[in-house]
Amino acid sequence: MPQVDKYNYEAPTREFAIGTLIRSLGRDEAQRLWNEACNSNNIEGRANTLEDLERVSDFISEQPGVAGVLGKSLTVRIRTFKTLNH
Amino acid sequence: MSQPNNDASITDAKRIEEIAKLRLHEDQVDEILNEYAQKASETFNLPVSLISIVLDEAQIFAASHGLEGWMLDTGGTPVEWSFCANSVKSGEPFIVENAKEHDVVKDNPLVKVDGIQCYAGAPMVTSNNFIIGNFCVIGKEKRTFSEDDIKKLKDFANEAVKRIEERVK
Repeated sequence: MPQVDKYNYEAPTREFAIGTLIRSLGRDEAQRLWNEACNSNNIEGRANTLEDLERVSDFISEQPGVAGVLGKSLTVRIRTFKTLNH
Repeated sequence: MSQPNNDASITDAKRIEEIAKLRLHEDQVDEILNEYAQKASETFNLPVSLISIVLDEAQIFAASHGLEGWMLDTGGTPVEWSFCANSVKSGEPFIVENAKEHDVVKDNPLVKVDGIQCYAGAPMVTSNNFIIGNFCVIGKEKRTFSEDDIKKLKDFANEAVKRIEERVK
């Protein structure tokens, strides 16, 4: 798992991201939203790269309501990793 | 691997919904809130002041003064590094006069790597009684905060909430 050692901070993963969505939205809505985000960004399968994950989280952060808040959280975590790892 | 946050006070669905209703997760520059932050920084003679919104997995800065470095680029931090999240959990101001000797934050990378040494934050409580984050001031030197300082900070927090709520009316 990629990590910024000085900050003891791991790169966010697909599993982490989906876990946060499930916690707040429930499994069905989380999966629906995830699939929509992947489809909208032409991401096939699992969004395994950080770049794919960032595109998915950006999409989710633009959604209305609670989903947008969850997406923004993920986006900040991904940007933190990318910025500190640069 | 990192696990999603399991602190119920932070991830509370109603609190997150309140943040969504106030549209605090949307990218927007609010000059009035930035002015509040600048005024607080000047009042406390500290280099940084933030209006921090504590989301489920990150904090984001709705306004700031004096912020520089990587946090200016990211616009927030992971929630586990957020000093402000302590007030969301407790409902009380969170005060750090000497971060290196403070049990809660001494191992925080914002202290160990970025050099934060003092912090004072007052919770921002909405009219629906949700704590959405903190109004805070930050410095890189040790210092004390008086009762009067905390009162001033609470006043700033109340003004910020008033402004935030007015925006969505």
